[in-house]
Amino acid sequence: MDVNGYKQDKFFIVRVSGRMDATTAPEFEKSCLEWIGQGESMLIVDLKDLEYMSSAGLRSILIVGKKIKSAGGTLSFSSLTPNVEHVFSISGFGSMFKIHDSLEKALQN
Amino acid sequence: MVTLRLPARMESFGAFRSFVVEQMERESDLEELIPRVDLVLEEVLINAINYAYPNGEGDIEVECEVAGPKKFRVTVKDWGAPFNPLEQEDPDLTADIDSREVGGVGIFLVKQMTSRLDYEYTNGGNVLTAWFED
Repeated sequence: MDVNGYKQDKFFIVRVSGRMDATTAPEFEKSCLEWIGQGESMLIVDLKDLEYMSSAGLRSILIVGKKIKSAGGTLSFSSLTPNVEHVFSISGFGSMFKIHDSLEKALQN
Repeated sequence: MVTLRLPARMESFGAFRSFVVEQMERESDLEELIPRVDLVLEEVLINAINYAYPNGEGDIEVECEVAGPKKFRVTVKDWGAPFNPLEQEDPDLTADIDSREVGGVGIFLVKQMTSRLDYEYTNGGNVLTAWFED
């Protein structure tokens, strides 16, 4: 898994690629919490290149989501691949978070 | 049917995964099942690695086989503390982000991704068998 982030307009874009599993999800969580700690509170997580996510990934996302909520910010996701979308859908995360078809659409919100 | 037995440690996770995925990749009609098996295997293995042997070390054994056309079976055994995942309560999927509890999703995903899931505690071990069907 690779995770990196950059600022675009008012948003902070987080790009994650590869596999978010029990071995890699802590790195995603740590990076996001650091960015939030630096004052970023409007996160868009772009999942275009993420092929796999397990409950460990969902767990990290929920922790990050709760942190952002308490900081008064927003967390949304863009460009879910079919496997990741399936996991979001059956776990209820698809309705708990804002999901956009593309990063461009997420940036318009 | 093939089996692989390794210590219940995080370092074994990758080897178990490659072992099962390689078996599936030999059969062209199982390709579509791989993402589901991949996920279920992780959820079950991570549970066993984290919780089966709280006071020491032990092994995990993974057994798998093609169980028919577009059908695959995976069995995961450990010899640790009895744990029946089928008895675990499902998470509240309608909860909002404030009230949603962290965790508890893994076993729920396992139930959703399998066509059949059996558990038994036998000969001093947990035996979880998952079937996948297209």
